[in-house]
Amino acid sequence: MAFSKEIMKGSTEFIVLKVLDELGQVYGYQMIKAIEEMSSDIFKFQESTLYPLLYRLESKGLVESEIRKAPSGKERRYYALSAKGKKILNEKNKEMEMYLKGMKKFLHLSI
Amino acid sequence: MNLKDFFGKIKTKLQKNDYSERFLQELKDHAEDATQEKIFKGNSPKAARATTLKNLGDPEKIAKNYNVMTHGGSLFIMYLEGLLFGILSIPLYLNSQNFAFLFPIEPFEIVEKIIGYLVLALVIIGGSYILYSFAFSRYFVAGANRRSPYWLAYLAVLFAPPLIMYFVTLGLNWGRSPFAVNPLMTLMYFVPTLTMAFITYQRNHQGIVTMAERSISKISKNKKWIIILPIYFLAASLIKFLLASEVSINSPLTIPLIPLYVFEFFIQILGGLFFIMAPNQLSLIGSYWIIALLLSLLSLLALLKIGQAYHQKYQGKAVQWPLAPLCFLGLTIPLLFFAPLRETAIHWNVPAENISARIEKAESWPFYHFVQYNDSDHGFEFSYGIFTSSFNSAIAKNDFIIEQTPGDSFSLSNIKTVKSYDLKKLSEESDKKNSPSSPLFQTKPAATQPKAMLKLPNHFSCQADEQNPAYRAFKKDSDHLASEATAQIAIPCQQLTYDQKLIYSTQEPLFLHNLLLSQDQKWALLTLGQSWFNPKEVYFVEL
Repeated sequence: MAFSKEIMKGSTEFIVLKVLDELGQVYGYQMIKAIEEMSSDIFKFQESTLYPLLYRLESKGLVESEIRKAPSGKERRYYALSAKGKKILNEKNKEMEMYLKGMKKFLHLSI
Repeated sequence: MNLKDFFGKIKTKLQKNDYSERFLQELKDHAEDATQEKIFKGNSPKAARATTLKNLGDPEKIAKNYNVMTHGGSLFIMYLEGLLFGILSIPLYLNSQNFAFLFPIEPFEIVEKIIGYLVLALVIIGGSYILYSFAFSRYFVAGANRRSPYWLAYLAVLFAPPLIMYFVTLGLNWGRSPFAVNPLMTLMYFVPTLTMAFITYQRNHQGIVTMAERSISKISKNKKWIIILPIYFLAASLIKFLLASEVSINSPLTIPLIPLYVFEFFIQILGGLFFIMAPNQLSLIGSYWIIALLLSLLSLLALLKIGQAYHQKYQGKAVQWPLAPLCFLGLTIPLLFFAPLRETAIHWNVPAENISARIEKAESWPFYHFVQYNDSDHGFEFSYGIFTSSFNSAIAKNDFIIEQTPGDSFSLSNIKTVKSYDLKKLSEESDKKNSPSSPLFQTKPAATQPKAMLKLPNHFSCQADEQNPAYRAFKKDSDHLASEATAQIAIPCQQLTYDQKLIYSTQEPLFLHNLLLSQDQKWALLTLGQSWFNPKEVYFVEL
């Protein structure tokens, strides 16, 4: 299902940081697959959305990257959460929990 | 479509920025991994590639999506910056020209202090806003298309006319200007500003192109651009033009000069800081040291910030160059260390030594250039009085006393050549204590010195171009100067001769405030200045 831009706007950074927190170091292709698997295919990121988002997070200092050899033997740019990113993720986590708690009451859903 | 065409199409539509090459590479890696995975699952390489490209989508949409994700901030911020900078500077500028503009009553000491704080607050607020707007990271993330002429046209309108007029006016008034015209001052403004503008051009260009295209093709539907564009030019350019018009050097035209406007802006910063420091008993040189050290510290912090960014780039990480620190350094480094001296361009025909420069260098090194740059008749300068031993027979012959205001007094003694002499700081108390015939208290002429034009010793004569605007203004005022002056009045002197031998000549207007001869008539001490009321330089010459 394609979500509206407004709904996704606040969530994309959280999703990427969460994936990096869960998986440690990943490169772009791995991350896109991981997002699909972890969300049971609910969220599908476009490549042209994910990479600019990663660059933005890197320029903010929330994410770090380095070029390393992947299991395939090819060189890939791996991304990982920085200490600052971890701190921001914890804050966003709390925020998202409260947000979903509030939304649940409106949706009358038990998740 | 094959892979080469696919990525080639993306590349042509992609906005060029720090990330575009990296994005293309990572997308290629992504396509390679996706294709490999499909081959592992049993697809043929050709089918795997085709499916991968189909899943990636339309290359134009990919590029467009990327461009949208990395586009710069609202251009309205750029208009606001120009407007705010210009508006904030108006009261500062007008106040510097006419004190009564803000305070029409006679200023008392407390009013001066309040004005000082007001000036400082305005400058800090304005300066902070500008630094913040340039540091705003979203503002500089956009890509650029270097082929469009719109941005170049804007830059040309903004910078070329004042730059051309500056040098045209310089040429028209060469040798006659009352200001020490300084090309380096122009560079101090233009180099960092142009650098900033071109970097902004690289980052934000696409937005301006889009805006211009919209205004042409959708002019009936999107009329706001007709209003926004002219306001942009007005905000960024015209206010600065108007502010600088008052301080343009003698020009038959009324085109203003942006470099001098920037010069006044910095003087206002210093003015505000001095107003705070001076009432707290700090000496003038002490105040200069504090400000120079503060500027040096801020420059060091800016350098560290730039070093960090460079280190990140060196490690292959994406980096946002800290533009605000870069521009700050572009202004402070010349201001602190390379601003040219305010010495007049005097051509000496006899051996001569600039004693005042020697004194000030010793007091303000390594910030001598900074002190000189600001030592410019704005109230933050040194002036000098000179005396000879003739008033005090206890002093050795051929010695001189040089009194710096504000500052110390010095004795010039044991003279062998203009380069070989003793220059000793005199302490009021110690000289009073140790020497009954203290030079300070017994050599100074009485306060009832005749208030008259300087009378040159025999055999000396001065010539000046009486058509020079500075001299014409002086001549016009000289009648009431004689009745109101509390000290000797300087005389215009572009050429000084002694027994028909040329001592010095200069093209700039120059006033001779005092000339003293040693008892053996071998040496002379002169005080010179660009105005008739402020003897700013002391020269020691061999006749």
